[in-house]
Amino acid sequence: MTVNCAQLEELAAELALGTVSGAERAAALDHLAGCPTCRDLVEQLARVADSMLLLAPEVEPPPGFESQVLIRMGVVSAPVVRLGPARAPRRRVLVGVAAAALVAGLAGAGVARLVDDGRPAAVQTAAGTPAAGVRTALAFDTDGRWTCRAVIYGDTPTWLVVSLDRTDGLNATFTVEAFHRDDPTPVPVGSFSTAQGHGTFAQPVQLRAESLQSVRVLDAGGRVRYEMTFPPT
Amino acid sequence: MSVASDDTLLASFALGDADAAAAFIRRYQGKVYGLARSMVGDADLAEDVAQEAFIRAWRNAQAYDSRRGSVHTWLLVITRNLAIDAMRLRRAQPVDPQVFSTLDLRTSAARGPEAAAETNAEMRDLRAALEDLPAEQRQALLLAGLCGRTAAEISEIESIPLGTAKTRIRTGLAKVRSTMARRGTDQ
Repeated sequence: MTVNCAQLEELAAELALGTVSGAERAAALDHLAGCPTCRDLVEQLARVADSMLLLAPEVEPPPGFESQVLIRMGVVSAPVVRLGPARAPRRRVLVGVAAAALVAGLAGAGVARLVDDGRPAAVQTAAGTPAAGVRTALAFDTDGRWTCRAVIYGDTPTWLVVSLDRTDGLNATFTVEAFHRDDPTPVPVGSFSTAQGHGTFAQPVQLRAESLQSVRVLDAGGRVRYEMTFPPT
Repeated sequence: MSVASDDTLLASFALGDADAAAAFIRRYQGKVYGLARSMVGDADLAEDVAQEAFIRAWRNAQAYDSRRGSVHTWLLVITRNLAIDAMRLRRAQPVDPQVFSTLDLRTSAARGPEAAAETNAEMRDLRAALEDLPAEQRQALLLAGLCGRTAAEISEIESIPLGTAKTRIRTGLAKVRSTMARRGTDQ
């Protein structure tokens, strides 16, 4: 698909507003890369479109919002997690949770199915003594490397951690869905992005930890990339 | 006690300074969450989007270019893009579009010294330009700009042909741009 200047002019407003996607957007961006005139037009419209965002009503987020962001940044410790050093940053605490489960013989690790990159699904079950209250499910690539992991722990609140580590430096957004036992309805729990192949979702979730059966990670196209099943409680 | 400028606060935020990060989040969280909520509708998803916007800003603060706009606008553009991605992924039910037909274009507070100045000048012109638009163009433009609706979705919402929806968006934005440019040069 290619776009000429006349077609780009038709699309310019929607491009500036951010509502063009897929092949159409890719073709438009390709045209803009080599056309300073059209690029200037879109930039001028984008300045207006961007300023419109300031018209959105101001709404205070739920209590704890600021803390959650600071925890995700790793600049403050999570008050509800006591599995790592008391003053350790959140990121380290979360790594500690996953690492503790792994080092203890892949404690509580469940079945993981990797469907990433179209490669054959690899199903593995890891044995071990579950760490108290922590359940882990892992996804491996065909070389047996540790690529995606899900950890759930805690009751009030229940925390879900999904970490993705890829070696291809991918920058992308993924969504996470969870399934409870005997319920085929996916429960959307959040999204996360990878930067240079690495990304983590770590949040308190409204899930019943004891009946949580599996977690799926979907790419931007809605395709299931990783599917992990926790061991039964 | 002086109030840190937006740029200064962003620089400290980027370095991971806890106090600066808290101040940065407090300064913008209402606008960021408000925009996310306006676009995706669902409160939980809006919170995810708003959190991710701050994380994205923190990780990419070096990409901010003050020549291209204020910190405030930059952060809201990040939020808008994340909200649009989230809506595509989850097919979330956005807020009732009719809310924007009654949006009070005169009351949008902003925080921070630069944001306040921006509101006083740029926002005044923007509101005036939007008020000058025919109602159907204003509605289409707000649906696209503040709800993240595509032309196809606006076509469905308004029960109009796709081409008409595209024309309303294109003409509306062009008029606003033209009006703002004229007001800017008139001053």
